[in-house]
Amino acid sequence: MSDAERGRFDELLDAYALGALSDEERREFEKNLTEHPQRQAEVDDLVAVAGLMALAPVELEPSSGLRKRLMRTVRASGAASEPTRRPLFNRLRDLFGYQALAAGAAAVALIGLLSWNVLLQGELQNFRSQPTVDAEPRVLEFQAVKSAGSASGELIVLEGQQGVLVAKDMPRIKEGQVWQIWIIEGNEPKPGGLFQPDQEDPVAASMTRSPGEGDIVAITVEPAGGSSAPTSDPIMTTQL
Amino acid sequence: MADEELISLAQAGSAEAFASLYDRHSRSAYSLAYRMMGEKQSAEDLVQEVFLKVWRNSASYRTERGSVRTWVLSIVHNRGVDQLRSTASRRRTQDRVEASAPTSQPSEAFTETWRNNQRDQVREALKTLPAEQLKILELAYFSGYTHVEIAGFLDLPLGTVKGRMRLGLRKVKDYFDTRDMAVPG
Repeated sequence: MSDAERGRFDELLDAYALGALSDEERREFEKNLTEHPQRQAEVDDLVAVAGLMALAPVELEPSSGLRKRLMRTVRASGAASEPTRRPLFNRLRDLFGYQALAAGAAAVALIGLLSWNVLLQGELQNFRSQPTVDAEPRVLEFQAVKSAGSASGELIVLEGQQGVLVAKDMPRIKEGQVWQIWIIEGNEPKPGGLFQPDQEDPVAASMTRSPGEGDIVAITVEPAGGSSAPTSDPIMTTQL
Repeated sequence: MADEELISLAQAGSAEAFASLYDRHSRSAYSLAYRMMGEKQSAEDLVQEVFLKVWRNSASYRTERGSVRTWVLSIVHNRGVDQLRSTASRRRTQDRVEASAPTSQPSEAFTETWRNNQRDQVREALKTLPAEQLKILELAYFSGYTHVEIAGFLDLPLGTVKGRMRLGLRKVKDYFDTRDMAVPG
């Protein structure tokens, strides 16, 4: 480590330990640390000291309702392999008022880990890494309607609930149309990003809004530029 | 049963083990979340999100990186900072106003009866800090401000903020070192 590098490292060290660097500074610091692992122990030591701040607040008790809600979700997620598709589809039919869902959904194939991993390299670099949590991204499979043919998709939920959609074999749509992602919170669809039909297949698109637990993510065809509310039936859906 | 065993059981799908972890650490997690978010609903939402992350990502826990409590609290902190930074909320404006006002007396914050010995130690260590150092550590850690932001609204040179961060953290570390106490992990 050169004197200049050492100086810069020391300059950022304490703010890094406290989580008080900008994203750019943090990336710079972590890159420097990766190149000089001999300083890792010192960093860990100071991060531990800064982490003591977490013990300082006055102790408060969360409500009993929080425990109940949490355990309900945990127990429900334990049965995640048996998704309750009917309620989801019923809700979607209410929301979109369309017939196609009633005809049932076609199971979609899982896009290989490798393919989306490569695709998302660029996307992932834009997201903040959190060294204290080695969280694997969640991968949720989309359910496509029959009219979507062989289309398939996955929703990758990264640390911090940032969502990335990966889809392949999407059906052709007309010129002047785009695919639009929707996040349905309760009964309200909110725009979650656009992706173009002419992108390379498979396509990866960052969502512009973070989906929350229980939200439904849907994809529809919309006029170029997107819509403020869905104007067509969803072609794919999944639920967090 | 040790936390590490509960984590392993939770990883294997035991909701009961997860419930035990929640019962052990929800109070600490909520206390930190409330300190950061400043109101009950946001704090509970944050705690719920964090414990769901613990449930889904229990495999990512590494014993060498500290205790389960430290791990849970670090997730609360990271997510809390993310949320604070993603919203230009009134609370942050309010913090700014408070930061420019005379600092509260740390002693007031330490008049509670502490039940947890580690908490006692940490609070004692923080009590030894001069108010201007403690304020900067709090703004950084609990309010999610960057050092540049803190310098801006405290109207201090960035070098001064960095210096106070450094002195504050070193003083806390020295507190434990001079008493031959390990930094609680």
